[in-house]
Amino acid sequence: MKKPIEVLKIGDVKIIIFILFVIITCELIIRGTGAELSGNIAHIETFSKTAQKISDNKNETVLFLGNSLVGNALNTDVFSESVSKLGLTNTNAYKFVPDATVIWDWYCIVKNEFTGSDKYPDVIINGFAWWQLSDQERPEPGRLGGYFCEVSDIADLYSSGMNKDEDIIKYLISSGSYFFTNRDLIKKRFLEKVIFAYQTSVQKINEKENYRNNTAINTKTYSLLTKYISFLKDKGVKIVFISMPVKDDYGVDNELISTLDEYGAQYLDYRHMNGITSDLFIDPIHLGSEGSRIFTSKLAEEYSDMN
Amino acid sequence: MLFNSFVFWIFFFIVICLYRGISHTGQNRMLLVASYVFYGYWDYRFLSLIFISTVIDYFVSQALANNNELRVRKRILSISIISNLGILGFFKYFDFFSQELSTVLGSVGLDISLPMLNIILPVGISFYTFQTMSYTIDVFKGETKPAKSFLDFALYVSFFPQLVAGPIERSSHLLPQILKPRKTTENDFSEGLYHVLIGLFKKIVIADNMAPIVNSIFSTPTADLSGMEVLVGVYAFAFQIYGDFSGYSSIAQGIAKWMGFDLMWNFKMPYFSVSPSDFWQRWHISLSSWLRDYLYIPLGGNKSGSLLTFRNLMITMLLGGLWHGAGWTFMLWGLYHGLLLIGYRVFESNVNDQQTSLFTFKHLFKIVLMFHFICGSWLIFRAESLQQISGMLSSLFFNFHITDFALFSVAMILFFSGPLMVFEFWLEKTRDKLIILNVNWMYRAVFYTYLVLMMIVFPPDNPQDFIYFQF
Repeated sequence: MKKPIEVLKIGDVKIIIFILFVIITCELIIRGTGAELSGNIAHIETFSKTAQKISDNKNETVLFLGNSLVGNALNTDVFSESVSKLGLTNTNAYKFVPDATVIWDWYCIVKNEFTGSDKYPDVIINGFAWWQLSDQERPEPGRLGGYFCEVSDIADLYSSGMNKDEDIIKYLISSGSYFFTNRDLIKKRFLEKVIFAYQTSVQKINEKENYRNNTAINTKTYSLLTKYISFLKDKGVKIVFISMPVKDDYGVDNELISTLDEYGAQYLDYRHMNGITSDLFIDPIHLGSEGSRIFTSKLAEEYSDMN
Repeated sequence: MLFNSFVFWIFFFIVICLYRGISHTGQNRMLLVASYVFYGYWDYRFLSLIFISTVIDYFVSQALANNNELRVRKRILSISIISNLGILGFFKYFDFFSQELSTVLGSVGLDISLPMLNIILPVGISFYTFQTMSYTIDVFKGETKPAKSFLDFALYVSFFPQLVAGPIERSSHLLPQILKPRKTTENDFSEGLYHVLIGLFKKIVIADNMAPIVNSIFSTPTADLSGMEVLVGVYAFAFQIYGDFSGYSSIAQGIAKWMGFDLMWNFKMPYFSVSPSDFWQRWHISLSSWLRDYLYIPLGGNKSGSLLTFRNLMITMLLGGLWHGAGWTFMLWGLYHGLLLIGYRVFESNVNDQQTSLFTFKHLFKIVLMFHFICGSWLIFRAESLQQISGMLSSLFFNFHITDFALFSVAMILFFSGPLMVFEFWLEKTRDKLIILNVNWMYRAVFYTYLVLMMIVFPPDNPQDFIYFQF
């Protein structure tokens, strides 16, 4: 049997080198331009600095954690101003709201972004909707490995349910490759430009798929959520969960509410917040600026009452 | 292990590293172990089934070799046929026929509840049972010598590149390659690389990106679908199933090539066919040739006049449909193809049709017409019930209007499948399936880079199983 090198034509060697060269070039381009590609990447890249600010801040610090639901609904300046008017003058608010994130991402964010810091936020207010706090919400290994989690977190994630071989391998590749981590973003940006009605059609497809998946899984579990709450309580963080308002109503699992209660986390049900009407939404799930102002003000009032 | 999964490529890397350092006998034994590991990864419970099938057919072939009396040989052969078809029939068709028989009995007043066993279908069962049956039949006919070594024969049955979705390899083609020492040349790597890359592209980029469109359209109540949505849904499925199945076969060919094996071509640009018989010489060639050699020709083929030829065609296509699955839609699909074959025979016998070049309007018209006839069969194949088929046809012909979703789907089909069709047009025109290997390395590099970048950047949101695994 010939040695491997003897069964490769020189042309094939050149081809393989060419392909590798192009991939490496793409990797370098994405690393250099990630923040320009997407506001979401730019936001994620601010986490370390924000974590440092929180650590250095001697005042009370509130971190709003969630995804774009919270990102659109919560205005940190309005919140700080409102609580200040209500007597809490030494409260500073921050946001970690990367798009499309769920409990898997939030767990890694709180675990890793403050490592080495002297101080965690005093309060974390975590917004969610639907099943985003359940173990059945599918982890996105590319995002976890590329942005929020360390390689050493893999054992923890594995024991929490991210145990498919493919997910683990994608997680490990994403840990090293920015190009691989952001391929979904590149795909989305490109197809939005070249394919007619891409965004609305994909949304339609995803809604059907989500409906099928959510109706198929009847029992939800919350083992990762309990780890998450326990971790924060050990760090002395007060944790509050908010079910976010969206246009179409959704249910909140009794099992979730009892889990939050059992583990000492506060729960605020804002699905039907007074003053939030359908016309305040810019799409089926995200609040516009007026809706954000109303939401933030009411939350600030509730926060002041808690304190 | 799916061929488009990272786990498979780690597995294959280990296999190829071990493969290159050992003797011929060692290679065969290692491949046998690897094949059983590969199959067991799906579901270890069904390893016993493939082993039983292997044992039965090995001893049948040995017995055939040791007996010259025709009557005895037929009885021995029947053991293989009955056991293979019995296994296939039980796992694939028991619940379907049990249910249908209950329904029929109920309709005549006999209220008998027959057992439904909810049997799990073992992956690849339709493929390996047909492969081993062809072996024993060929030994019976004297066209193949029986394998002396049980372990070499077991490798022929379970060879992992083609175990779960073909191509269904004839013993006369694959067994000699197992029995003789293999040499890998630099051309083998080149060719293997092409097959693997194009196969992965077809599966990951084309098939899996068409799947959400197809699933969305076929899960929508037919009354809510516009005719154009039905049309593009069928087009999308045509490319999904082609990308999926031909992609798998390509990858199988490629990885086998890297180990010095030559597997048969299972697809040859089928959407450029001009007639149903042309289509069946280009689509799932290993199955169509199996049905031709072991069913159609023994029935008499086209040697006994028109009516008997039509009968033979119809039986072959009906059973071909049934091979795909236990369901009336699959039978209807087989019936449709039978009628298509018969129809074209009648038409072509009355028309003096000369072969024309690819670039004539007449030839292109025939290709487009045939493609749409095939799409008609895909509607039947993909639909979940006869009611859905009629509903979709009704929408297609009586509710045809353009929607945003339909235009989106057209754009997606053109973006993902268009380049492949252009490439296959070139292959068709040059009549050289491997012409890409003869172009300057730079052009090949650009082409392969396109394939790789598309796979990295445009994978589906949800990877799909291979469609033919359910058969």
